[in-house]
Amino acid sequence: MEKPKTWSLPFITGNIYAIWWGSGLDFTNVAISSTSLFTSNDNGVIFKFNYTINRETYHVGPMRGGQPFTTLNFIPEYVAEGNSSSPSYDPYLDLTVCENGDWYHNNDNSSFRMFTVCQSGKNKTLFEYTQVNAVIC
Amino acid sequence: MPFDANAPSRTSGTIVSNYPHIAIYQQNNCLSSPIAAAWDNALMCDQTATVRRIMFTNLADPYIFNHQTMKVLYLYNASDVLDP
Repeated sequence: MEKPKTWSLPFITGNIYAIWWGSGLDFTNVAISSTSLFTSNDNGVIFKFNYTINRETYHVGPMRGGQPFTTLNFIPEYVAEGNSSSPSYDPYLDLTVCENGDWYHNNDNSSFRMFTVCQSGKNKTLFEYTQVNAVIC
Repeated sequence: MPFDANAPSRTSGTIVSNYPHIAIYQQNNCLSSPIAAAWDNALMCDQTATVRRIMFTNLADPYIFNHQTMKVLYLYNASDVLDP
């Protein structure tokens, strides 16, 4: 887990955390890696990133086994099932079932603008990065 | 249920640094020791809190995050508005 020029912090599973950088850095690429102790029985951890400059979408995918940066296997964006008019409808990722790298993006130019990504032991190899690339059109 | 961080009967737990995103929002299951000299600035999380370390980096240009302070805030819901 140790790598120079990185941030590595403990988080409690089953929680949602907002992440940002003190300088207001509007990153376009980030790689997230979680401990090999993550198991498929653990709840996930969801990270929420805000941003300022428009992101048309994100390309998110696992980097496993020395896979080159350019051959990302994209994970499709999470789309909630059900009717959005239903009171129980929840458009966001579910901490209990989200798999490693699942993501949700809302590009509305409002307070709901966000990118969220799940880190989980589900659908995760022992050592891998979740590579996140912002797509700016 | 709050626990005595020095209780000898505890059979499992996780010791983490006293980060605010854990200390402030996990007061039921991650507590600091009342004896600071014994445990320094640590939190002791009981068995109800699963602690996992997660790393953020930039593989293409590691210097992107060099000298950048990272901020973490616990959110009750993903829809909570973030206003750093």
